[in-house]
Amino acid sequence: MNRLWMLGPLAWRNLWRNPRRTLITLAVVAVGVWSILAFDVMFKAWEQSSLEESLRLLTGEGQIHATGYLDDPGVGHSMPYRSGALLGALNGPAVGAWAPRVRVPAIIQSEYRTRAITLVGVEPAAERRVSDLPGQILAGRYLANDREIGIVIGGDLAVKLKTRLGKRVIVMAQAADGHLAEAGLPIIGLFGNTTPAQDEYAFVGLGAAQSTLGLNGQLSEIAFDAGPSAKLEDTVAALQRAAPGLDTETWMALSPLAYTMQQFSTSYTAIWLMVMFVLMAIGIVNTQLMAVFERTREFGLMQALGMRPATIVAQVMLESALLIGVGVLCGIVLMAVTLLPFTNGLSLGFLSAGSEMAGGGGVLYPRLDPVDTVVYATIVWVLGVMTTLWPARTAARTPPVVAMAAN
Amino acid sequence: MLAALAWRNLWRRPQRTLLSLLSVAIVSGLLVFILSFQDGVYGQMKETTLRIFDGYAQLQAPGFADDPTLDRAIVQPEQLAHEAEGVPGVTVAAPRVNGFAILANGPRSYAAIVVGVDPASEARISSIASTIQEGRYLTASDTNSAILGDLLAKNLGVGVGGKVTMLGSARDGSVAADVLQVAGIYHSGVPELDRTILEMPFARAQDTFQMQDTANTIALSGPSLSSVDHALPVLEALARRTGVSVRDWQDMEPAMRDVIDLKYATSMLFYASLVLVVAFIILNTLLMSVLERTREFGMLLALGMRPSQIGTMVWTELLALALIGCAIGVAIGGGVTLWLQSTGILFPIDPKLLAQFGVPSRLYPSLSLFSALAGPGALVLAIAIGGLVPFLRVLRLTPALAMRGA
Repeated sequence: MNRLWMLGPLAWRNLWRNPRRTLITLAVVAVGVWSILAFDVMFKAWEQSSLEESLRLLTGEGQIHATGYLDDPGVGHSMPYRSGALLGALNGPAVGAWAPRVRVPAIIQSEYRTRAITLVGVEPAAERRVSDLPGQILAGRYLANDREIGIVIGGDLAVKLKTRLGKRVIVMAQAADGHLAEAGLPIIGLFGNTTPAQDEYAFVGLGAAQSTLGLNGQLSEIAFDAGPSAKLEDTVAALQRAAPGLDTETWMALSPLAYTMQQFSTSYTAIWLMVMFVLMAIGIVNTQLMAVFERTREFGLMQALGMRPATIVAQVMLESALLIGVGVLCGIVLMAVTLLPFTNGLSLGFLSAGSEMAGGGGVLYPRLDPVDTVVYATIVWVLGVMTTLWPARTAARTPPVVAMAAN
Repeated sequence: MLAALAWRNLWRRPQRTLLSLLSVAIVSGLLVFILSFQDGVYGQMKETTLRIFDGYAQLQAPGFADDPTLDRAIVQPEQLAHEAEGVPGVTVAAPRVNGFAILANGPRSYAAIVVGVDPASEARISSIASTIQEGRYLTASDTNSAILGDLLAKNLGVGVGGKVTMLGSARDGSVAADVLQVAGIYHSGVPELDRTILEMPFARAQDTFQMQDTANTIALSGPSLSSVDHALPVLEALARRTGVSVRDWQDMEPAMRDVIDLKYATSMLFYASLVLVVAFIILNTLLMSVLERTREFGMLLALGMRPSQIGTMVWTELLALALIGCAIGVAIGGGVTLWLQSTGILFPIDPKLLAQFGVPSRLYPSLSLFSALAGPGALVLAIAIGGLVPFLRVLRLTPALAMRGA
C-alpha cells in the first residue's frame, strides 16, 4: 500500500521529465474540451434566443383556449373572462405574466384593397409583458388602452393595402350572434418585424373588439409565461386544475415548427458531441501510446528492479489521470476566459436577415452551464483515462529483457 | 524517393498511423453522410411542399406576387401554358384564376382563396387531388362543383353534396357571386391550405370573376425540382417575350428558403469544428512523431539531406495520412449513404408534425459529387495547411543539435 502512495509523486515527476510531450497532450485535451464547451455554449445560446424570439412574438410559453378553438379559431369558441379559480391561478406564483386576447379571423379593407387577417384584441399593458411586438412600432404608436378606437397593423400590410398611418380601414369579422360585424378604424400605428406576422395580424383594444363582436366580456385566448421559478409543466398542470373545462397547451403544441427545430438541433448536437468524444479519445490514446513507446527501456528497468506489471499499469494510468485532469481544467479555464468579452451578449448583426426569419435573436447570451461543463469534462477525463489502459498494458506486457534492449 | 521514405515512415508505428487514419476516416465519412442527408432532406422538403400547391415554378402576371388582384392577368393563358410545356424540363403547365371571396353556408361565413383550376393538368402539379378524403376531385365535365379543405369544410359546416355561397368582387369591380356544390374534401396536412383554399372549375371561375380568356398564374411542374430549376433561363426568356414574370421556388416560399439557408449556415459551424479538431489531433500526433525522430533527422542532415527535403518528407507523410483516411471515409461514408438512400431512414418524430413542413417521415439522403467531396476536401486542406507547423520546425534543425536529440 505504501508503495502505491509513492506512485503519485513519481507520476507527477515523470510528466515533467519530457515537458514538450506533456504539453502537447495537454494541448490536445485542453483544446478539445474548449471546443466542445465553446460550441455547446454557442448552440445553447442560439437555440435559447431563437426560441425566445419566436415565443415572444405572440405565442407566449403557453396558451389557454376554449376547447375546440384551436381547430376552429373563431367567435364560436370563446371562454368567460374572469372565473375565480383560473384568475387565482393566473395571478399566482406559477404564472409570470399573462395577457387576455380576442383572436378571430377577419377581413381588412382599405379604399383599394381587401386582405384576410387575424384580428387580435389586446389589453396593451398586459400584452407588453408577454410579447415584444408592442415594442416594434415603426410609425405612430401602439394602443394606449383596451377601449381605444384604432388599429395597429404591420407596415408591410399597409403597403399591400395601399394605405398609411392615419387613414381609416374597415374591419369585418363574424360576431357572436352570427352576423358580419363591421367597424371603421383609424390606423394609429404600424409595427414591423418578421414578414409573416406583419401580413397576418392586426391589433385593436380588447374592450373595443369585445363590444364590436358582441362578446360579452368573453375571450378567445390567454397567453402566459411560467413564473421565474416555476417549471412550465407545473404551470400548465396548475392552470389545468384551475380550469378543467378549458384547453391549456404549451408552446410545444402551439408552435410545432419551433419545437421540431429544437428537436432537430438537439439530436444534431448529440451526434456531434459523440463524435467529438471519440476524436478526443483517439487523440489522447495516440499521444499516450507514443509516450509509452518512448519509455519502453524505462519500464523494462522498473520491472527489472522489481516493480510489478500491475504497478506499472497503475503508474501510467495515474500519470494520464493527472495529465488529462490538468488538461480538462485548462480547457474549462480557457472557455471561461473566452466568454469574458461576451458577458453582455454577442451581437449577431453580421448575420443575414435569414436568422430573423427563422426566429434567431439579434443578440446571443452565451453562458457556461455548470452541469454541462462538469458532465462533459468528466466524460473526457474518464474516457481519456480509460483509453490509456491500452498503452499502459502495452508498457507492462513487454518482458524486461526485451524492453531494456529496445533502442 | 521522398514519397517512398514517407510511406515507410508511416508504417514504422502502425498503431499510431492506424489511429490517425481512423480519426480522419470517421470525420470524413460522417461529413459525407451528414451533407448528403441534409441535401436529401431539404430536397424532399422543398419538393413535397411545392407539390402540395405551388408547383415547382410559376408564371405570373407582372406584379401579381406583391399585389394579388384579379386585374393583374395573363392574356390567353392556354396558349402560354402550351408554350411552357414545350420547354425542356417542364412537363405540365396549369393556368389558374386566383380569386378571393367570402364563402357562406347559412349563418356561417369564412374568407377563402378561390382558385379556378383545370382538373386534368392541376392533378399532375398539385398533390391536393390525391389527398381527397371524402367525395372526389374535380373532373373535366364539372361545371358548378368545388373541392375544399377539411378545416374550411368543418368551419363552414358543409359536407360532400352540400352547397356553399360565394361572394367576392370580380375583375371589373362588380360583385362576383356563385353557388357551388361540394364534390370533395381534401386534407393536405398544411392547416393554412386546408383552412383557406377552395378549388373550382377554371371556366366557371373565369365567368364568375369576369376573367374571360385570362388567368392570374400558370403553375409549372416537371420530373423534379432541379429539372424545372434548370429550365428557368428558358422560361425567363419566354416570360420576357410574352410580358409575364417567372417565380421560382425561392420566390414562392421565401420562409422555407431562409430556414434552409440558416440551417446550412449553422451546420457549417458543426463541420468546421469537426474539421478543426481532427486536424489539430493529427497535427499533434505528427508533431510528437517529429520530436521523437529528432535524432534521426539529425543523422539524415549529417548525411547531406537538406532540411527542406526532410520537411517535405514529413509533410508528405501527413498528406498521405489525410488522403488515405479521407478515401476510406468517403468509401465507407458514401457506401452507407448509398445504402440508406435506397432504404430510407425512419425519423422518430410524429409524422403528422413533419407533414406540416413537407417532411415525410422516411428520409432519403442524396449523395452527390459535392456532398461526397466537400467535407473530406476541407479536411485535407486543413491538415495540409496545418502541416506547415512541423515543416517549419524541421527547417530549423541543425545536425549537431538534432543528433543530440535537442
